[in-house]
Amino acid sequence: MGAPMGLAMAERAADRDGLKLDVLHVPLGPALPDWPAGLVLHLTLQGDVVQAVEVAVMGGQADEPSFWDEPWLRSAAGEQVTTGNAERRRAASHLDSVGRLLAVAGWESAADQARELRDEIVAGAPGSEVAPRVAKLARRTGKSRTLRWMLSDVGVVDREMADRHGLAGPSAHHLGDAFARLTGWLDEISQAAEQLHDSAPIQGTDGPRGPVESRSSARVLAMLPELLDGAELAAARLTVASLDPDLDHVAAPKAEVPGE
Amino acid sequence: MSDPTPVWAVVALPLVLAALTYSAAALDTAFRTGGGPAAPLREGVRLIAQQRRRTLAPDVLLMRIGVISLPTAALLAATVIPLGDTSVWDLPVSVVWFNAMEVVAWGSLWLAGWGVNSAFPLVGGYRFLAQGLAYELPHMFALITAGLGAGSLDFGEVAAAQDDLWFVVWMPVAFAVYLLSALGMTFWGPLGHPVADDLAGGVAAELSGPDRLLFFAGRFALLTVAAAAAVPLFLGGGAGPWLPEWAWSLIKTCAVLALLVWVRQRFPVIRMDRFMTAAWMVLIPATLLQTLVVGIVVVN
Repeated sequence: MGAPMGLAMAERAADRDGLKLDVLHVPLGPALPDWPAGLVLHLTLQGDVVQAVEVAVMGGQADEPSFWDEPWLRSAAGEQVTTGNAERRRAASHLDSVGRLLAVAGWESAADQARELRDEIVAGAPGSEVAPRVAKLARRTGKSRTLRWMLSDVGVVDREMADRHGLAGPSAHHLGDAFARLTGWLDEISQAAEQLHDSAPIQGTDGPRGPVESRSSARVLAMLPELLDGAELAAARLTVASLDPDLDHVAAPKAEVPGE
Repeated sequence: MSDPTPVWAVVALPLVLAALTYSAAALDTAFRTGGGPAAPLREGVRLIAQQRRRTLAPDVLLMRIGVISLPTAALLAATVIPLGDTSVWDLPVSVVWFNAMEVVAWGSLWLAGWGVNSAFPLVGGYRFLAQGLAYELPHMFALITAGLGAGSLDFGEVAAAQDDLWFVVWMPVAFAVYLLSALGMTFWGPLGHPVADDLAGGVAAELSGPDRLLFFAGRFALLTVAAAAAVPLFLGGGAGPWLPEWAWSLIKTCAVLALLVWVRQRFPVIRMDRFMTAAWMVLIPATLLQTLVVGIVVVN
């Protein structure tokens, strides 16, 4: 074979079914709709099946700590932060994740619903107004049979895997597939929505993605190659969205940035 | 093949198709963003004026064929669909022609996905081929069931055979499968995986400017034609009280079209690696059973 227009042709390699198929090297990220900005997955694809994954993070350090962890970080630094404020941030953070997962699952109208709620909660909407709408969203998505059908068995994380990678936060509490993680978020949002006006000071540092000092999203990234190996491309995107790592947890050492 | 086609029908067809297609796009915009009726027009003008983006080493000819064939197929399919009892092309096997035209979408998506020489559109093209394998057979059985009930593959005669009882009443499975496969062939809503956002737009990811406009206008046109064909197939054609036949055809078409557009709000995208099993294990046997029941009724 020649090189049409000076471009190298795709090489072939045996795939998991023993067929010889073209191998494509396709990066996912760093910028995609509903994608953790800055995350790059260097995929080796055969057809639309992921054969290998290399995880990288684009450079550009965050000047400030994660927006979603802020109340707990302030509390850890000795400031007085009310439970209401922290739970408000937790609910918004999970709604942000839910919106992203629903958008990747191709359910734009439900994703918009989650994002509207997120914005209103961040803007300080009263709990009495927000709670019924959170319940409505949880019913609509958590009870959707189609969504369950599409998300079940996608990106299954079991106890052994979670322990081995030291996962923390929702992805460790709600073990199982992407749908389990979605309903886990929805439960936590509903609980948080009822405490929006709790004025007691917060205890502990358990933020939306686990203890804020543990950089739990870095562990999620470390788990991705194992989790995505052999996944279909759409399932890979759903898996990443259902874990929704916060890239602000990952201070990228310069050496890790490839080719820059 | 009796009367010659009236001239007004030839003139009216593209106008009616365009108006319905625009309404579908406007309704979709209203559902999704609450935009006014002028929103699709603005988007269309923007796309016409937009400079085309080019990928590296695209096969422009194949890509253009893919894009242009989509609205063309919709228009050609529309020629055989009767409005009231008048169609532009009075073909005795019009149901087969309609089916042949909608299969053009397979070629359209694959050529457009392949032609731009980019990974995501290519994967989108793969997805549509898988989707075609899932929906096309149940779709054909649904069409055949209506044809069997009427003893004809002519839309006009199928509609005329429903004077006593609409086919939707005693062929509900075929009607439901028809609507589902209409979503499939127009890669719309829950069956929109080939152009899904998780691939940054899939087949359409690299289409820009007039190409993108034609592609999406073609999709809405195909959706319109699929809705219009449901009327003579299952909903009694132009039958209805007080109003003239053409008006009833239009009203029923709009109702089906609105339903199809709305469905997008209601469901997440369905992936073929999950749906294929259901299509072959549930839909095909269900449509075959439906055909059998109709066959027995017809013979008796």
